Amino acid sequence: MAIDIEETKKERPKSKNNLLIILVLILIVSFIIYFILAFVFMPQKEAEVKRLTAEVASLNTVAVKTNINELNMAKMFINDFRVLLENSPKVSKFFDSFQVWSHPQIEYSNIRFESASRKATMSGVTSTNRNLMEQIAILDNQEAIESYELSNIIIDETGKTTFNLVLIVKPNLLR
Amino acid sequence: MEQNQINLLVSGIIIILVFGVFYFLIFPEYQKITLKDGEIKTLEKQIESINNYYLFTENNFKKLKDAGWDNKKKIIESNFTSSPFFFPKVHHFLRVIASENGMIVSNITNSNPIEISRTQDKYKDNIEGPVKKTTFNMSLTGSYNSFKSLLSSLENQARIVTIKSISILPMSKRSENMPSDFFDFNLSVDLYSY
Repeated sequence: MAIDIEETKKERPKSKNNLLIILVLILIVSFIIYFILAFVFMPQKEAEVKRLTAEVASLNTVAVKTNINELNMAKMFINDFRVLLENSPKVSKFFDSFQVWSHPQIEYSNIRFESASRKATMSGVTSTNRNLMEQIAILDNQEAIESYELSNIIIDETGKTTFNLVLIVKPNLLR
Repeated sequence: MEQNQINLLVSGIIIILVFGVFYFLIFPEYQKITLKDGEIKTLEKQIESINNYYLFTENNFKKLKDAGWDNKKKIIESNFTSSPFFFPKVHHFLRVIASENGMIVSNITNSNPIEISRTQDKYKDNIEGPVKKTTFNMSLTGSYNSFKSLLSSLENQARIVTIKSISILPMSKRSENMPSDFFDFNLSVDLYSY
C-alpha cells in the first residue's frame, strides 16, 4: 500500500509540466504569427500597393490626356452645333409654304417675318372682295398655320380690297 | 514557494503574454493588413475603370478620326474662332453668298458679339462652350426667287446662320435698268463664334 501512494504523488507535476510546455508553445506560435504578419505579409502588401500606385500614375500618359482633351473639345463643338442647328429655324420653308397658300389674285407687299415669334405681317391688295374670302378659306385649311388675323380691310367703290394680314405659323413648319 | 505555485505563476504569466501578443501585436498587424487589402482592391478597381475609360475614349477617338474630324475641326476653327479677321471674313462670306444667288448687297452692318450665356435665348443652358452671337443686318436688292435661293443657301452652310427677321419692301429707288420684279430686302441673321 505504501508503494502505491508514492507513485500517485509523482504523476501530478508531470501533467503540470505538460501544460506549461503547451503554454510556452502557444506563446512561441503567437510570436511566429506576429513575425509572419509583420515581416512577410505586410511588406508584400506594401509592395503591391506601391506597384499599383505606380501603375495608376503610368496610365495617365500625355497621349491619352491629349486624346481625352480632343474628345472633350469635339463633344463641345458637336453639342453646340447641334443646339444651334436645332434652334436655327428654316425660314425658307415659310416662304415655300406661303407661296402655296397665297391666292394668285392677291398681291402681297411689305412682308416681314420674325423667326423668334414665327410671325409674318404683310399688306395685301386684290381686285375683288371675293378673292379675300377665298384666301381666308385657304388659310383656314392650313394645318401649319397656328393663327391669323386680318385687319384694316378697306373695299373701295371699284371693289378693290386692301388689308393687313398677321400670320403665326406652327414651329414644325420651320424645322 | 512550492513547485506547484511556481508552475501556476509561470503559466499565468505565459497566458498574459499570449494575450498581450495577440492584443498588442497580432491584432493591430492584422488590421493594418486588412487596410492594405482594401487599398489594393480600390487601386485595382481604379486601374480597371481607368483602362475601361481609356478603351472607351480610344474607340471614340478612332470613330471621330474615321468620321473626318480633322478636316471638320479645321473648318470649325477657321470659321468659328474669334479673331480680328472674324468680321471681315463674315462680311465677305455674306457678300459672296448673296452675289452667288443673284442679289445685290447695298449694306452690311453688325452688332457687337454677345456671349449666348448672357442672352435671354431659351437654349442658352444647353450650350457648353463660350459661344458668342453676332447679328448682321444686310440690305439687299433682287428678285423674290433670288432671295429665296439665298435663304436656302444660308440655311445649308457649314457656318451656322440663324435667320432672325426678313423684310420685303417695294424698291425705294429704282434705276432705269433695274428689272421690274426687284425688291428691297432687309435680312437680319445671327452668326456664331467661339
